[in-house]
Amino acid sequence: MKFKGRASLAFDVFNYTFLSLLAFATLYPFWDTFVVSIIPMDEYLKSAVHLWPKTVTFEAYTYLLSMKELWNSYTVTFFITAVGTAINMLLTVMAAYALSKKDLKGHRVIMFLILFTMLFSGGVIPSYIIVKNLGLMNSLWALMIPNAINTYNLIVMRNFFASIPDGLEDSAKIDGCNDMGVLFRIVIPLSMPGIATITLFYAVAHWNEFFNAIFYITDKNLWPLQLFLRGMLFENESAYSGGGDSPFLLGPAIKMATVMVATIPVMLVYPFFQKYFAKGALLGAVKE
Amino acid sequence: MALTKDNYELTVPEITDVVSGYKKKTIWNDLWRHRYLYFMILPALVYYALFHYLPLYGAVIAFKDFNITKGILGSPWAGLKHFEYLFSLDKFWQVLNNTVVISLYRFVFGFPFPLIVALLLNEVRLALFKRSVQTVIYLPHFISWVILGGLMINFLAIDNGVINNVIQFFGGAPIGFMSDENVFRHTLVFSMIWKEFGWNSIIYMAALAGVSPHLYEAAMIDGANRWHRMWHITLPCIRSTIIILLILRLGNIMEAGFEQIFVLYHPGVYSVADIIDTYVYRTGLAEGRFSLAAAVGLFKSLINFMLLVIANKLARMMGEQGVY
Amino acid sequence: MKRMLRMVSLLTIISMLAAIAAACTKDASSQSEGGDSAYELTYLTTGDQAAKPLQPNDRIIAEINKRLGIKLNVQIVPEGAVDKINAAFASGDLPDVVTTKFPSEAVSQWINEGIIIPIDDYLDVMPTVKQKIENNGLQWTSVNGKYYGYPFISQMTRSNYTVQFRADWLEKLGIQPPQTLDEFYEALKAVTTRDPDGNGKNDTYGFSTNKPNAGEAISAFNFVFFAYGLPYGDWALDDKGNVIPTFEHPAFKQGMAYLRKLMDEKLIEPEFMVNDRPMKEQKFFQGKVGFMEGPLFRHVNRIESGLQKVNPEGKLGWAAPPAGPDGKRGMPRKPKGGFLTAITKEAKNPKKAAEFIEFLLSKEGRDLLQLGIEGIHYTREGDKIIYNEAEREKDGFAANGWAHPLAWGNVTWPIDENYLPQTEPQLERAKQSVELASKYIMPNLVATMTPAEIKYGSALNDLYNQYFLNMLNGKIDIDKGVEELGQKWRQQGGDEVLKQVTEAYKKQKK
Repeated sequence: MKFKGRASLAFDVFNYTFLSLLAFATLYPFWDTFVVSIIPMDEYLKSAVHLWPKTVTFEAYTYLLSMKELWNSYTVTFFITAVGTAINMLLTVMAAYALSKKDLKGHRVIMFLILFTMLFSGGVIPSYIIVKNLGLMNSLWALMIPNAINTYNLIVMRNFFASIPDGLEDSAKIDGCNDMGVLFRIVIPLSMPGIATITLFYAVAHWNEFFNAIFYITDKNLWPLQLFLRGMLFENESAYSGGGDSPFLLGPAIKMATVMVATIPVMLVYPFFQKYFAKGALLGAVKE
Repeated sequence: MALTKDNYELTVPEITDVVSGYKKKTIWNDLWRHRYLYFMILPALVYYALFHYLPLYGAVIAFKDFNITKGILGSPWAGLKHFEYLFSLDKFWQVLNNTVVISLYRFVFGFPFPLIVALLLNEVRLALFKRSVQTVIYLPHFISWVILGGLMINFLAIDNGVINNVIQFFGGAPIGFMSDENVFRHTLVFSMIWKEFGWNSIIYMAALAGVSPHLYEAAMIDGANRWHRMWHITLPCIRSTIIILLILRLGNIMEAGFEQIFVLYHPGVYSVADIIDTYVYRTGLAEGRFSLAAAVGLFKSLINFMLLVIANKLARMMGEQGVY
Repeated sequence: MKRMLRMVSLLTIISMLAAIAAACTKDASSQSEGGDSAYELTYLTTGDQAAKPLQPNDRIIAEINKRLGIKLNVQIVPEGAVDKINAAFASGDLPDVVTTKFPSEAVSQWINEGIIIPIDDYLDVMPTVKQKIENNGLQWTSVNGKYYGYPFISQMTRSNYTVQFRADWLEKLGIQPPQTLDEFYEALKAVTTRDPDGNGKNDTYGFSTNKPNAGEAISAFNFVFFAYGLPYGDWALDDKGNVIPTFEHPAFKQGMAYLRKLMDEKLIEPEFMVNDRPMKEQKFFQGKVGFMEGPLFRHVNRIESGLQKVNPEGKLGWAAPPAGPDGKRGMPRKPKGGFLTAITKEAKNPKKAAEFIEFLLSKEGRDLLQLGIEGIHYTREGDKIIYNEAEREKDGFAANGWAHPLAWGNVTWPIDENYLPQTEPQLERAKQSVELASKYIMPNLVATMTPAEIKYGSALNDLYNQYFLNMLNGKIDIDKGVEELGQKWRQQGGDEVLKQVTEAYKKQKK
């Protein structure tokens, strides 16, 4: 070990420097967004790069937080993220676990059929008709039920389950657990990094939801957060030239404040997931 | 175990009977033995049937002249008319080429980068540093292209852009990152990597968390250095994850990043940056033309599908489980 | 038995989820159905995206319901997404009244299949609609002699679009607002080279603009072609009287040569194509460019205050588009597209639906949507209007005397009504800017938009943009560029477009 110490040190120096640079490069857009959200318009306009605020004002936040639409859409997004993710996880974990069993007859056929839907779809008309016939139009369930499972996530989850040694499960079965019991008592605790990843993927997808909302929601009081945000970000061409009242007139601080308000909750949630990605996170679980 | 009818049949001497009877019975046996597993798939199957297979009939619209009153199934057949129209468009082959080139370029650089970053993070022992870096690199994923686009222009403008000021300070000629047809694709690919590598590395971080520390301990006792450990322990342990993601990525090759390109491009770089999706959207080719839109979608899906099937086959030949 | 129980419980969970889903939607629909038996009129619209959400107990909607004897159910599509409207129609989910973008393939299909119905039978209850169609020369929007709704085309007769500049810079440099192309060139040159911001650096450009909207042609420089004598906004005629694309008119080459000169001398910002609209304006505010083109009206105040945030001395000026050698000038083109508000075949009471469309446009309706209910949302003191902001806010009116969420974007915009609330800052200047710009609206040769234009228009614009930029940047010689463009343009659908446009032109001449 000793004689390799120098190379190892050089690697560490490189590694820490490189990762720090990456962190700076990725922190910048977020920092810039934050700075623009707290500076007055004149300071924003005077320079193209905003490294540090000279004057700090929370005008934009005061304005934004007084908007009823923001709180409406916050509630909507919290609801679809919580309930939607719960539905996603229940369906995905059960199906992924079962499909990870190589001795399950027909698992390849089922996987293929599922995968097929990731690539081919019937287009927007039949989907619209189904959502309408299920009575989900202009309801928040339209943002959760039609995407109850994401095939990509299902496949990744299945892969995590597949990497668990069969021996552990077999011993549990001998102890009298059925497959459900094995899943919930043995397999899930052993797959927490995977579970955490997929939960995060689903939650973030719900958090970022806007596409289905465009098609299925017409009541502005049911707009998810991202629709509200997009409304603030994109200047509306017809409103612009026709002289209507456009959010663009509000200036950049309000736009960036909206981005911050829409991003901070997902940012805060990440550390809770992070502990599952730590090295040896499973060690405790295995011993139990 | 009690003597059931199944076991009993095994005692029947005639070989052929044994085999066929055994087969039939074992299917039922298997189904019954795995009844919980099948049951766990059931909700998913219902979901896929209802929200994916039931609407699938809509795909035939690509071969029809869609008539709203008659509905999708009642509309008259049009054969390959819409595909022929698509392929006859002068620009179609150019945008197809752009799609494939940008997507492959993105794949070659964008696919390994999150993995490399995850491996590097895995070598970091300072927990606080590791967590901070992880959190920070995850952030740009949440900032939309509209905003990043504005920032990029401030940085990359030929005139007074931060990067070009630095280049000129060192005596270089300014580069039209956003306007030069020879450079624009690099701008696209590297800004996409910049935005998404942190997010994409999460999955690898999760896979790395599953590698047993005992393996490393054992290797260290054997005197393996860091490189050896990474090469002989870490990578093999997360190989299946890498391969799954690789297959899925290949099955997505026709998606070259609509949102990003739509924000960043402009008529001056259409020749290198216009992809199928941006072209179809911009020219309103498919607006209100459901048959043509379906034809475009089907064409993309077919290519994605072929690549995915080939990639999966190769993976299975290499002894991997693959995605199906 | 135990297993059975588990199976049953799982099934229960699934059916519960379904039940919750169903329960919630039932709530929503029963809410909107209400108790009374008035005709429920569903109105699906792209609407005004900047407006506030409609409130559940909106008094304006209640007032409309009362006056028309209907029960109005307004559905505003997020982001004005026409895709959503097209999908709803294609799925057979029809409202009673719809407002959507037109002309478009989708609308043509609806007309052909009888999904939207002619309004001719109801025109006697639609006096304002009838009058607007006749006064604005919108007869061309009829299909086979019938009107399929109210065609709202913004800025047909009033425009807010002209040349804008830093008035303070011109004063400082001692030059008058340019009246001719030559003066325009000199002014750009002065702004570019004579350091108008006095920072001692050669860091200003004369003129800038932004990239065009998706599918549109680059039109920011059209005023140059009009100055050189291009007579129409849409098409041109050759010596023999045949319809040709505008770029084949001699004025185009002359204009192009002029623009090449500006570009070569770096009087135009070289990377202007990268700008979007806010970026262009930001450069104007920051003093990086002296001239730009764009909309005024309500923007007069916004642009000038933006300017003054950076430089308190900053002043916004605007002028008529510069005149060419023969004194000709023009800038905004008369538009041919907008929004169609139509009645669908599902409307149980088409007459009521027609009355509703009429109401949106009528004086009575405008007053209600813009001002509110007298005594609640506003009061009058002579000519002065006092806006009761607290009451207005309860019904979703925008701040500072602005209007109800249904007021704009459906059948009209403020500019077309020449409407600004009395609270508007710089109200007089805003109106003046429109008066000036409206003088230079370029007429069209052919009133109609032909089906071939709807089909090929965007792709042809794409081609035009590509050649325009290459000629402007000197990547291709102008003569050669125009010739190549002409060939490719015809190959890629232009032939069919010209054929149809020629027919329409001949028909119109008769």
